[in-house]
Amino acid sequence: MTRGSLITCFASLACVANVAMAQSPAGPANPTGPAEVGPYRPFIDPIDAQSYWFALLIPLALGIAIAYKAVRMPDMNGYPRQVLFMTVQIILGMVALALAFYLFVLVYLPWASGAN
Amino acid sequence: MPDSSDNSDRWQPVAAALAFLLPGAGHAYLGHTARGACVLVGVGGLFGGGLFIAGLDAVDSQLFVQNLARSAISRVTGTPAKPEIVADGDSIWFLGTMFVGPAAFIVDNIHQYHFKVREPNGVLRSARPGEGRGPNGELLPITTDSRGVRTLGGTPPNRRALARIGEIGTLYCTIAGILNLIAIIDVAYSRRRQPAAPAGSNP
Repeated sequence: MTRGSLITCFASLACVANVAMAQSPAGPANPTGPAEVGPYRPFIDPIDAQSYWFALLIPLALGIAIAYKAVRMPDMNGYPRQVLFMTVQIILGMVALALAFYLFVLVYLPWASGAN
Repeated sequence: MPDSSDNSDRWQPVAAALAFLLPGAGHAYLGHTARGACVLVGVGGLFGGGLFIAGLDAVDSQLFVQNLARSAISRVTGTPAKPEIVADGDSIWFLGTMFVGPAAFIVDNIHQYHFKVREPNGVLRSARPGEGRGPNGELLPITTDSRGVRTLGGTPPNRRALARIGEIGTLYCTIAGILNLIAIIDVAYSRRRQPAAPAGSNP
């Protein structure tokens, strides 16, 4: 297996894991925990961002693009532009997947079950 | 870091080891400092971001990697293995996170031994609401006072990251590890940067 195929394999794995977790059903929304726990401590306790969790996918896409483009670009000319481009690509890909799953679950499946 | 030169000296174990120890260090060792800095920012940012979002819950190995190492050492040395038993956690995600390097193992060990509670039978687990942690990690259970009123044994050492916040924080840390694995593979099969040729000389 060549280095290129190994890298492509792990990059695909990362993207699949990303989409799978972003699309997974939510559990109980209780970000802050019980009242007796005490004050919030950064990097020890989770942040209270349950209602806008989807915004956290944007820095995730940016981080992936920063590290991935640093490894894959032949030279560093145009690096910031490439990072921005890949970030937008990942975000648009996730939006497209979300839209596709939305249409499948809320439009196609009711239509298919009604047709039968 | 694609390289069109020949394959004669492309295997770089030292660079790979450095890349595991500190993200980006392998690239810096090969002379690609800017590239290494970008890898460090990307991987370190994702790992730190995951910890910031989900807290310590983003990194939880259930000590399975450490237990595997313990049993391997015990086979070599002939001494009996004593694995820790951990009750809960997302150990499968640690398979990716561990490639961030020693930082992941340090954070995980802090989580296991400074924030989890130890049940009387020795099992480590996260504290539940109403449970606390003693100075040596022992579980302080809910008790009742002389009037029969429930009193709390303590407070949980850290809050659990639930639902999507827990998922996204774990995802940040795991992707950081997978990206660093890509960087490790990249430097393991690349060449040290050659000094620039003087102007006018033939390549």
